[in-house]
Amino acid sequence: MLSTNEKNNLEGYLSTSLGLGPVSILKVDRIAMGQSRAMYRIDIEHGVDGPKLVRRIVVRVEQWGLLGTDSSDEVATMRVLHSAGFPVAKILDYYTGNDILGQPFFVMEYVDASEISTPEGLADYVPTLHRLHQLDWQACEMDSYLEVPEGPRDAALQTVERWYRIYRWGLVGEPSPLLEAATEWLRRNAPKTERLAVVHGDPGPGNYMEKDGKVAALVDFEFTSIGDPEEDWAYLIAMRGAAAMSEDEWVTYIADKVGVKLDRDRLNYWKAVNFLKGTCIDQTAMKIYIDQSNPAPNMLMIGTGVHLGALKRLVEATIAYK
Amino acid sequence: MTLPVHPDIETILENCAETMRTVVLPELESEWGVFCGALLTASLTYATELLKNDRGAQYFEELSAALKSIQPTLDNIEDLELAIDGSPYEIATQALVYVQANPGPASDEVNRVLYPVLMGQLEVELAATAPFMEGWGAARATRKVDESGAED
Repeated sequence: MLSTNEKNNLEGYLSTSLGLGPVSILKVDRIAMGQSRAMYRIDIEHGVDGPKLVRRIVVRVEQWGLLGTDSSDEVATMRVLHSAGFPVAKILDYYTGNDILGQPFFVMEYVDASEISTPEGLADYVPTLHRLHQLDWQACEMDSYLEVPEGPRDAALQTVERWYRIYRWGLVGEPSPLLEAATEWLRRNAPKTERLAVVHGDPGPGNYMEKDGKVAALVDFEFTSIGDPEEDWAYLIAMRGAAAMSEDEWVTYIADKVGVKLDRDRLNYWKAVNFLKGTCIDQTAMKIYIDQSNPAPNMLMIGTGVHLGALKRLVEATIAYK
Repeated sequence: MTLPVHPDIETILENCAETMRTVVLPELESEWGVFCGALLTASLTYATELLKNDRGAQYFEELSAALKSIQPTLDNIEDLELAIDGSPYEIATQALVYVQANPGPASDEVNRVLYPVLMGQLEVELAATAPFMEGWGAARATRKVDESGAED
């Protein structure tokens, strides 16, 4: 939770950054289930003349490099998508210093919607994700801050190396032979990408909000890249959407909803890449737990159980020896 | 190695105490406090098991023995230069990465010996983390329905 000092600092910052005049913080709740960032739902009171107005905002704070990302690309992407008419919360401000909350953070509008996924919401979400894949990222100048793959296999290779670099960054102690061998397998089996698209990177239930059966907000753009849209479909099917239906049902559902016919070999490859992603980014939690940047017990959980669960799936999808 | 390193128990206990003091006690009614409380319990269980059994040392011995059993095979692979003073995990990494690029009888033997050892260690470690997943599940079950538009 925010300390008294942090709360005072944040009040001062919000009073100058939001353009609302002096701001008082009425209530702060930390949202418990978000792991990559500390998320605070904050009620503020503002207004110079006349009655005070109450407004709810969300503050998303970095966590010492947890999951190998910072907020700069995420903020840029959210701004682009909001402007392009996607259901994405409006960014109110982005602060890159450490002097207010100890880590960089950004402030966004609160969206009054639920994270609970319904069949109606899912039926709206899949076309929304497909629409994201159709976005003209060059016209939106997303290539000004996101790396663009060049060769036909570079979408896959670039993605593999991105996660491998994070693994190396987060490595404490001995290397993981299984992870290293699986990474080599992914390099050697990288498929060609037919069309580059904006890839959300963490799509599916839990990462969109819905209201009245419609998508009200897409969230969590820290892994967004320009790459192969099949990466997103694989993630949706194998990770966030796995509880909703089977892989066969998902493949049929996606084809019916948006006309995308998924190739099973490529799908299996991208599932494995997503397992690599999970394995590598989750390991960063162990690094910041051990160096005590963040002593919260969810860091230990992610760095052990979640990391190992992803590693097991990665090995089974790539180098399993029978 | 299936985990890069085992966290030392002193660190775990210190971190638990710090989180208990700064998060759980001031916020026992909050969603975040409940979540941390569930995972602190799991952390202490995990740490206690590490106190009882030094699994890291056991894994090093297992892998060293496995590598020793295939040393002649490794020595006969001309284009595989293993780190002279490498740890068992560094050598196993080199060997298994080589295997991916060089299928054949030697690679098959390396895989046949090293893979089950490493997977066995992975399974044991995964089982040791069960308290975390149970704690996470319990926290989710008691969680208030969140209406925030910006979940993670």
